Amino acid sequence: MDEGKIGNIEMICLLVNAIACKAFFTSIAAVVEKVGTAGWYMTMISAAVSMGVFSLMYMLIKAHSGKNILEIYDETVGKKAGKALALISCLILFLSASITLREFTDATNVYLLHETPPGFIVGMFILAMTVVCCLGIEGLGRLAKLLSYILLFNFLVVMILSYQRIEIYRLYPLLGYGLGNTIKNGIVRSSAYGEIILAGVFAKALNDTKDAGKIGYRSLILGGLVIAIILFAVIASFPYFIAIELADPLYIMVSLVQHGRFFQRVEVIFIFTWNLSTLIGLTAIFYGAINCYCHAFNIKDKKPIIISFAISIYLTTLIIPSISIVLDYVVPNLRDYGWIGFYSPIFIAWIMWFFFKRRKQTYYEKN
Amino acid sequence: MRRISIALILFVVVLLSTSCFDAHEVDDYAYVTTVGVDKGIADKWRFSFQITNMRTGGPKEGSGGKEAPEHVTITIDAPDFFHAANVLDTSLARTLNFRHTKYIVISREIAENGDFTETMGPIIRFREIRRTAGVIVSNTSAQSFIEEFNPKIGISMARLQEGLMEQSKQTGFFPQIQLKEFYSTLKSNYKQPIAILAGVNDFSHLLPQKAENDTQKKELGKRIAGEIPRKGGNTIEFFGTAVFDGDKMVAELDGYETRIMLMMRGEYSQGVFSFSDPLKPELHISVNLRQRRKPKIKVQFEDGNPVINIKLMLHGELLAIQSKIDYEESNKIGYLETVMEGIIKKEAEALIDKAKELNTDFLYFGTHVIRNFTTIQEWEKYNWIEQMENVKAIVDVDVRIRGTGTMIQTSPVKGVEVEGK
Repeated sequence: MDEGKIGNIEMICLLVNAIACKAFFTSIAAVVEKVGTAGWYMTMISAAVSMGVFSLMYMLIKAHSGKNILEIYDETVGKKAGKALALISCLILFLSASITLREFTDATNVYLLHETPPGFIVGMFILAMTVVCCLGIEGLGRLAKLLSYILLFNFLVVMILSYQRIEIYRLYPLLGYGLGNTIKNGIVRSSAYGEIILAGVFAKALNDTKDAGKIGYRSLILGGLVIAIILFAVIASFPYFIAIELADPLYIMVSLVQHGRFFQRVEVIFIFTWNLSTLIGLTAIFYGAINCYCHAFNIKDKKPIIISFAISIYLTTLIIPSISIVLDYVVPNLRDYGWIGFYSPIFIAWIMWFFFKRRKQTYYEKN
Repeated sequence: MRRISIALILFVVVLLSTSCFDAHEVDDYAYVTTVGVDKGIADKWRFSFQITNMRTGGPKEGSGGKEAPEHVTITIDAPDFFHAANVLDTSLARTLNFRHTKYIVISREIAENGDFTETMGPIIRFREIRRTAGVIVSNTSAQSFIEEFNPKIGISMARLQEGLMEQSKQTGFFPQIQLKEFYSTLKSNYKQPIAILAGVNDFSHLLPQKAENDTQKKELGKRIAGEIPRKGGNTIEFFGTAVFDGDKMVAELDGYETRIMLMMRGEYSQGVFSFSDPLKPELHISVNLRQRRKPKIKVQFEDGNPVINIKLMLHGELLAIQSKIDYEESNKIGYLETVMEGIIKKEAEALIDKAKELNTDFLYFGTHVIRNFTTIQEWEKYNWIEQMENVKAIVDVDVRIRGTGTMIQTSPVKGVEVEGK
């Protein structure tokens, strides 16, 4: 399949949606439960940690011009170990897509489509993801850019409209459950930005793989900004002891918009943003997982894999019996330990390259 | 082949998107506008539902040529809210829908017994209930309030219900309390809940013209809902505030107290202040008073107790001077401002004393005190909601009369008998 090329802005749109779409669901309440009123700047700590890890990945990409991170794994740790690292990335991306899709399904079920079976919602969503994946990274990038401007506009509109609910006193006590706790959680929950590894996975789709650096940093800044704005708005709109109760605080916040008798019930704008952003974000993650898998097993034709992955994600999304299990076990574990899956392949590859390959590489380059 | 498969996929998508499991027609539902709860007889609680009669959208005629009412009130005794709604569906041939519910009414008895969280509290979990619904404590039973909660003068019920809430901004005689606010303050550790106090006026407080003077003469603003001396128009009225400690109603505030409370919370918009003319006390002066900006509140601690400095900043516009004294003059207007400042300061101090006596922070001081704490653990350990009685409050009022209406001075009335008056 011809992968095609995408522009830098298209890649940024893909990555920002992949990072930020999870903030539309239960993660906000989980953050407030962990760090209280400090949630809005805790996420900036997470973004900073992710930037650190991304810098390591960028060093690898810069040192291996024209290669994506999966090829770099092979080169730095060897073919077999590289395959293992690619499979770890595949697994974590697959799980991330599956869990976020489950959150999306439960939120849709609770607030919008009460009687529709979850299987139908998941099925339709995966169908859309599959169609976009079949068009390849080029189609996905174009779609992401096309919709992102509209999504950004909608996002800003709902945030501005929600200003009347914002009370600054709700941000106090400023340190939440303590600065130490905030920093600790900020580091652990850096997996919220783990999808940044897609910048490395899709590096070859860029006109120059070295562009991955600025794309990655900009995506992390924008994604962090979007998540921080959402957290700030939610924390300033609901007291911390109420925010932790809500299944989807952002949706509730938007549903409270009421400017006079006529301008109210604007949550439809939010639902539009919520759906499309999740579609772009999850498709990117899903396609990233497929890329990792195809690379690991050296598969050229992705189409059969797309279909088998679609069936697998359908099953894993629906295998969890209830929303309580999703909230109590699945999402917290992904957020707390997800960094191992997202970042450990990068750490391993970087250590191998830095201590064993770098000097040799420099020597070859010089001669 | 590729084109055929894409066309096939699109065909399937279109086919699946034509409808969904949640598709319903508008008339599948009975839309509830107001929900109320009282103590039950046949079962634990008595729930009342005011339902919009959608047949009145066309010609206002029911069966037999009679005018169909715009709403129907249905009452049922049940152990809980959802059970009641579900059982009622069996007699309606429609499903009760709460997406357009504007008010939740609890009877005073329920409020005073602290039964809100048991009866209506759980409904916040329900997706159909909008958190923007108003919360009312009715001086009468919720059932009788809901039965009377419809327009007697020519506006639609929806307009009446929306419009009533808006009057809080025009008068300041009752607070604008929505379910999300009420619910969060129930669980709050920095403020305590209040609700709109409402009642049904049977018009008995307006004595006939030839009757003897009312021995229990009360200022208009010092009354509460259901006691306003008036006749005609809607029987229901919103006036005053129900104050809660947790989920238990512990006090009520009259119209004047409610205004001062709103000013201190920064929620006051405007209202007409009428007070005795300082130079002719038997006559009144009316001023339209607006909150210039949110009050400046500073908190400091002395011996572990909070000292709260409150500065209220208000703008006024003269509406009426019964005495015809030239208060518009620049040297007299300052005097009038000082008098008003004194009245408001006295009322504010009395209200703070009331809050301290009840040990209930309905004035939202906690939202300022919390800024002195750095972590949630420290704040929760301090336990603000038990500290209101230890507060020392210093009130400062700044009133500026910026307008004198359409007149810049008052000329005396001329006449043989009235000359010189």
